[in-house]
Amino acid sequence: MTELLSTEELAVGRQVRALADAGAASRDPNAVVRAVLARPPRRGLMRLPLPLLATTGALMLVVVVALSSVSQVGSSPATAHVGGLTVAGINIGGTAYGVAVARSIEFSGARLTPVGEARQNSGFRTEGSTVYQVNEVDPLKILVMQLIPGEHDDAGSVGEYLVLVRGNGFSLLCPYFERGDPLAPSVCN
Amino acid sequence: MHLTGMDATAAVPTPEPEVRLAAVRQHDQAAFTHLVAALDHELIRLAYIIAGSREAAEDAAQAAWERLWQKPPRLRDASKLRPWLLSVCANEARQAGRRRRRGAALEARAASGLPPVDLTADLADLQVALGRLSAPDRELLALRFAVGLASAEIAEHLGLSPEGARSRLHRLLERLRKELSHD
Repeated sequence: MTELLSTEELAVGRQVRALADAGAASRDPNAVVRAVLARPPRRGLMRLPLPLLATTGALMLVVVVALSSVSQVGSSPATAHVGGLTVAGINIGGTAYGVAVARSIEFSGARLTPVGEARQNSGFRTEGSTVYQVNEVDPLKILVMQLIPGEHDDAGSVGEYLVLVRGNGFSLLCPYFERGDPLAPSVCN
Repeated sequence: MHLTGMDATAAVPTPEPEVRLAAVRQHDQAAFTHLVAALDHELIRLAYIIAGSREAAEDAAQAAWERLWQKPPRLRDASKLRPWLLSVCANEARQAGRRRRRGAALEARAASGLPPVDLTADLADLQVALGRLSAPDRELLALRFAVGLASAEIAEHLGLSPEGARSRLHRLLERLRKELSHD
């Protein structure tokens, strides 16, 4: 695909490219790799097994964003934006879900079953519109959508799934937080 | 007079390192080094336009590599590796840009030992003008001209329609052109 740019616009574009040329120095790949290898692994804020699914083994759940008061759409200023995108509701099959700030949720070995398509996706950059049930977790309370890789949340983490929550669905996550954990959903306290 | 936009990116290489993702997932250091060699400069170019500083750009690229090594993405389509890296790097650069505006970059520059970027007057003016844009707008320009993505790829990357991406690109270039002509 090509777009039509005027000669003036192209000139500005060339300047942007020249600026990148001027500012970005080439680095020794071996030095970059050495620096990567020298770094200790980044630590998640929380990494807890999901006992609800213990029989299936390998599911790991990582929630790295404060979950308080997000069961209602846009319920507090602290949860009103995620990575600069507006939190909104998603309607799936006529059922409204709030969108959790807990977007940095990661699954390993979980069984994600497609259960429908999101008819509205306000602002979030998801991979398609398919929504998934996570193993046996009640799909009327918690669903997930796959995020476009690389997106950060407000905590600076990169998540793989967007969590859709309905009602007090966050209570399902309480077993995975230690008592008094400030990251725990408010419903758990 | 109008020309096709492809002219603006003809010189930008398009590496195809996706095949190495599987090896990286196995912590194959040689494969990882090949990936870095192929894409590091592209990441830094992107990050430099977004963050506006060489230090922040290199930090952003480094963070992307660290994330790839420590936690490689589970991509169904390995060809998405490059967009994934660009996305992680752009996000790091946006965050670095915010920190920079809060003054942290001055300390980073003092500590980094990197030589200052020597810009011509025109490029210095452009950098100032870019600084007045939002980070997402700088990202769009960087993806187009520093990385060399086509509009359709940019649209997919930024979650826009192709028409939306083209419209925004036109609007941004026109805004920059006017600002630079007034300087």
